[in-house]
Parts: sequence; structure tokens; C-alpha cells
Amino acid sequence: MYEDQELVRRTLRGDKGAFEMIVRRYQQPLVNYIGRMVRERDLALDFSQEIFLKVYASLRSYRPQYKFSTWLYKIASNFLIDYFRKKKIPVVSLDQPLAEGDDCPKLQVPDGVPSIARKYELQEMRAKIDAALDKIPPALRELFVWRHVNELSYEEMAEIKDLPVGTVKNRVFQAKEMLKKLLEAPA
Amino acid sequence: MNCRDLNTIYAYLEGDLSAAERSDFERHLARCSQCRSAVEERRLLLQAAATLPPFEVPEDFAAGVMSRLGAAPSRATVFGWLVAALAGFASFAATLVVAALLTGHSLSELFLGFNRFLWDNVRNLSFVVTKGLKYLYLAGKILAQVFQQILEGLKVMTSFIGPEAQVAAACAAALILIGAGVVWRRKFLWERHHDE
Repeated sequence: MYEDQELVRRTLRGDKGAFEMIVRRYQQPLVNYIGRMVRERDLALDFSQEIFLKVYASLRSYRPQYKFSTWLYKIASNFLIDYFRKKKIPVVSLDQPLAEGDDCPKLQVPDGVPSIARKYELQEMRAKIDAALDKIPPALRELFVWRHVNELSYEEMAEIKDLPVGTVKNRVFQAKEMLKKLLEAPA
Repeated sequence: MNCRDLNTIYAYLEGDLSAAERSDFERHLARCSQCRSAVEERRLLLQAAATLPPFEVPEDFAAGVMSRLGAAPSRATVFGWLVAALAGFASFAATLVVAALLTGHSLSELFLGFNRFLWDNVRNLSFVVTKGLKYLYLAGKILAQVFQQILEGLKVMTSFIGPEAQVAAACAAALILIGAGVVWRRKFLWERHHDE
């Protein structure tokens, strides 16, 4: 199995088959990420194609000392930012401070609210999360998807977004607690 | 163990606690039902997220991407610049022809008119450029004087240390400058390429 950097080198030497291997390697994680962000499979497939074409067109600017996946996700993330801007969906900056009190996580189990663990089975929970993802801001949704669907490390996410690791951890935390609150809310 | 700390719960679930922290937290869990319930809820949440069904990617997805690939990854070439220049000239010629057809003037009249317009602008621009150069010259003169003063200062300071130490200090300063330049260039390229 070739390393990403080797495949990039071969592509730059004119071997298109090497780029096809890159596409095959990253198509599923990329479509999953884009799909969870735009919520439509066909759109996710179209966007993923566009992103791979952008990657190919600017492959000469890739620096092999960085992880290829980091570079790919950065291009994809910028692509989505443009898309959300065009759709006039507010893209909350991750540098903005959280709402008051959200940086001091408290354990709260309010009386009378059934625990989500008791409320839903795993299968049902998946469907609920899928729907609830749509209700959290794209900037937080993106980090949650990267961390818990694509299983990226906090360090890689921080590199993609050019943010400190601590900030990324805080925002993922906020996304998880938002989701949990949405799941607890009565249907 | 502080039982209000949700970050610890997530760190526990994501395997980010050290062995000591983990066993400390597990001891706490054994006697705190509130934390046990919080852990279970969040475990279910993360488990469900991690097992969300993947979006189906059609078999021919990669083939679709490959069929849309253009030429080899782009690089600015002399040929590219030549094509751009030719395209610019062709559009200029086409504009002149369209203008001649619309206004009824001959092509030579239009060309001369355009030339006059261009020349007037070049002349105006040359005044601005001359003035700019004059200011640049003055700024350079001031900078040279400042630099001269710095050199004088350095001369006084280095008179206290031997020639070997002076060479070593100069080499160290040059290395720091080169290192900073390399780091800045890499960072600049990385950010620029990622913003594309």
C-alpha cells in the first residue's frame, strides 16, 4: 500500500492511476463528512467530486511534510464555508467566545427529564443524532463530525482549522452538549 | 474527584485520561450514581455518532472524478503566459472591430484615438511615478542615515569584544535571519495553498 505522499509524487509525474488511488482512499470519509454537513447525498457526491478536482488542480502546492488528509480536509472545509456563505447560512467563527457559562461545564441532571440512555435505543439514537446535527451551527457540526464520525485527532483538527487544540476541544464539547440537549428535548 | 466536571467524563470516554486519573475516576463512578448516569448517556451519544450509517458512494465515483480531470496539475508556464497575452491581444482587436462597426469610424481612426488616450494616461502616470521615485529617494536617504547610526553604534559596542566573537555573533545573527525567513516562507506557502 503506497503512502499518500508517494501517490502525490507519482501523480505529479503524470501517473493518473496514482490519483485514482488517492480518490478511492478518501472518497468514503470525504463523502461522509460532506454528507453530514450538507444533509443531502447527491449534493455530497457532487461536492466531493468538485473537491477532488480542486485537489488535483492544486496538487503542486501540497507540501509533503504535512499530512495529505489534513490538506484535503482543509480544502473541503473552505469549499463548504463558501457554500454556506452563498446559501447565507451564518458561519459562526470558531474564534468567537462561547455563550456565557458554556466554558464552565457543569453536570446537570434536571428532575423529571428522562435520561436519553433510558429514552432511546442505539438504533433510535442514531436517527435522532442525524436529525439533531442539522440543528447545530455548521462550524460546530463540522468539528463534531470530524471527531466522532471521521475519527480525526484533536491535533489534526486544530491544524486544519488553524486553531489551538484547546479551542477545538472546547468547541467539540459544546457541540456534544448541544446535541445532548436536543435529544432530551420533547419531540 | 469533582463530580461536576463534564470534560473529565468525555476524556474518560475518549480514552484521554492517564491510568491514574482513570482509576481515580472509576473509583468515583462506583459510588456516584449521578456521574454513572452522565457517563452512560454520553457513551451512548458517542457510540451512536461513531456508528452512523455511512453515505453510500457509487462504484463509479472515482471513475467519474477521473473522467473530469483536466490537464496535469497546473503550473504557471511561459506557454501559459504567451496564451494569456495572445488572448488579451485578440480581445483588444475584436473590441476595436466592434467599435468601428458601431461608430462608423475607420479602424485607423479608432486606433489613433486609443493611442492618444493611452499616451495622455502614460504622461499623467509618469508625473506620478516621478514624484513617487523622488519620495522613495528621500526615504532611502533617511534610512541610510539611520543605518549609518546603527553601524556606528555597533562599532562602539563591538570594540569591546574580540574579532572571533564578532564573527560568531554575525554568523549567529545571519543563521537566525535565514531560519526565520525559511519558517515564514513555509508557513506562508502552507496557508496560501490551504486557502485555495
